[in-house]
Amino acid sequence: MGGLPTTTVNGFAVHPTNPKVMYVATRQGVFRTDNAGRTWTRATNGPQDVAAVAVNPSNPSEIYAATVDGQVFRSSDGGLRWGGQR
Amino acid sequence: MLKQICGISAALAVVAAVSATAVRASEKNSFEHVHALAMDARGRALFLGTHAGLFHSEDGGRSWQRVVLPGSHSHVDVMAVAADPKDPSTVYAGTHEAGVFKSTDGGKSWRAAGAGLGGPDVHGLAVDPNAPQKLHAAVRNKGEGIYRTTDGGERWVRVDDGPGGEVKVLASVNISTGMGGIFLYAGTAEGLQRNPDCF
Repeated sequence: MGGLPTTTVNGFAVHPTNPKVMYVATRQGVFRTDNAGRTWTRATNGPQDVAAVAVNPSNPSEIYAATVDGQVFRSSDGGLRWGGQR
Repeated sequence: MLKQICGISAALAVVAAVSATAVRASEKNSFEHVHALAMDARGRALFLGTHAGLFHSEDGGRSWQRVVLPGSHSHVDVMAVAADPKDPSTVYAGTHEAGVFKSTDGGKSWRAAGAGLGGPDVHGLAVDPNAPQKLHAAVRNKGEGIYRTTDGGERWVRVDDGPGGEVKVLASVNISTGMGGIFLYAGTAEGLQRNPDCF
């Protein structure tokens, strides 16, 4: 799984038309792969302790992440950079 | 037995109530513990599954309204949420105590959709992107295993033991297995696992 931590995966989401693009939600943050899981990268400013992640089906660049304690964050560039808490 | 279960499902088909007070996302304690997040096919509504129940947002997660699921349980822990990828009206919720619920009006009303599940504790729900009437569910504890429905939740059948480790999330991914199916991914306490869905 390349750069994916071997810890608990709390959440998972996939791009609606390019299934090689996936996201996982972990305690360490949101990780993204562009190659169906061979390598994973994590946004440097993304939320930590993430419980769930979702992709907007009609605008797949828009990603939402919810932390375990209920804070919601949005990225508008496919999870590379994240805005502040909603 | 099936008729009895379906009869119960029909009896529970009541309109969900939405609380009058919106919940700010910043009010952490309202959710207690988040389990799942999904967005409808149109990209307008978010659904948040939490220890304190199911919540619905129409403003990108800034505010949330509580959705009351039908049934006799005073407390429902929503472990999984899955949206139909083609029909924005159809959303599913999997719960710790009461199986699966389905809405066909964008989350306004819900009915039980768990007939055939071996137990009530649903930890993952995956909608097939190619055939949205086909779903898989991960059940824990009683009746543990992976279940499949091909009719949008009317009837579930157990198809596999499921992955090792506690399932946190389940998703169907449109990558061909070369064996006539696609892959089912599971986020678990032991990492990300996948298996061909042609059980």
